[in-house]
Amino acid sequence: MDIRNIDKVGSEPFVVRVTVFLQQGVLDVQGRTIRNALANRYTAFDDVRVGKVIDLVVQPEAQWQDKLKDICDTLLTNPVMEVYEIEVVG
Amino acid sequence: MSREVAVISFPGTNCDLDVKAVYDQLGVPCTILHDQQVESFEKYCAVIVPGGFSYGDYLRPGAIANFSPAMEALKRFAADGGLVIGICNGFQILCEAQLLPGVLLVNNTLKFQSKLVGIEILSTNSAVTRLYEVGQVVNWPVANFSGSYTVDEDTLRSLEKNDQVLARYVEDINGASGQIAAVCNKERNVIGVMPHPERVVDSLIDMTGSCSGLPFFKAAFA
Repeated sequence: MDIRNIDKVGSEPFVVRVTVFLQQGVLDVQGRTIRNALANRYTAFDDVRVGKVIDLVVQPEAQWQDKLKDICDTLLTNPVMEVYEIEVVG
Repeated sequence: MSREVAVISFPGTNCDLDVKAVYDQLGVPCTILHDQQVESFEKYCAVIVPGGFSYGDYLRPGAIANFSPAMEALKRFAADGGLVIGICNGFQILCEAQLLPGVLLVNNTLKFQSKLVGIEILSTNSAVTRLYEVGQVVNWPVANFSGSYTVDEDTLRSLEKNDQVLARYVEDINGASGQIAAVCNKERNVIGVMPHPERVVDSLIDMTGSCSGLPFFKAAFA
């Protein structure tokens, strides 16, 4: 599992940000609707995708990465239709 | 074997009483159980996961409900061959629990759809469709925002090949793969249906006047 900025993790609690998007190829109806609305007034934007941002405050205990992967795959996202990225943000 | 049906009620479920009313009408004993209080479904002959907005549809429809104690018991019940029927939000929960393949995506119309739609019965080989005829069209209400049942091409082909597609929309209303409205798992004991047959059973409130949803519930007991 690739976690960006993992070198920021020290001995204090920290925040990880999980960003969730629909998989490429799954129709993002909200993104499509926003794109269509933009097209009425602006020309510079070819595509829009809508996702979710979830911040979790984490204790730097052993196995936190395994637990995080587990909740990302079972609760925070549905791997059948979504993909996610993880970043330590503070 | 017991003849009693269990209906799971999650916070936000709103079709549990409708389902119970159907079984009351059929003379089948039926108990509504709250999701945090269930340890086992052993004593029941079938479990219904009804429609509504379990846990407010937070995160994704069905995602939080899948983490409740009732679902652990339901997975054991299904693995032992017990009959499980998910309607609307119940269908979404069964997909989140991976008791059925695929997912229910937001309708491609980006609208909450609440209307009567034509549903064609494609297979009578199930505990809910066996009192219908193949090709029969019934008018059932849909009421959902995420009703577009979606599977990949390979899964769709295997569902069709194994006769797991129980019903489809006569017209493409939401972009669902193969216009699927109802499916079952390979073992045929877990069933998901997106429209609401429980709203088409009583002549007082049945907009169609046909009571065409009644055989859906009767089938397992007739």
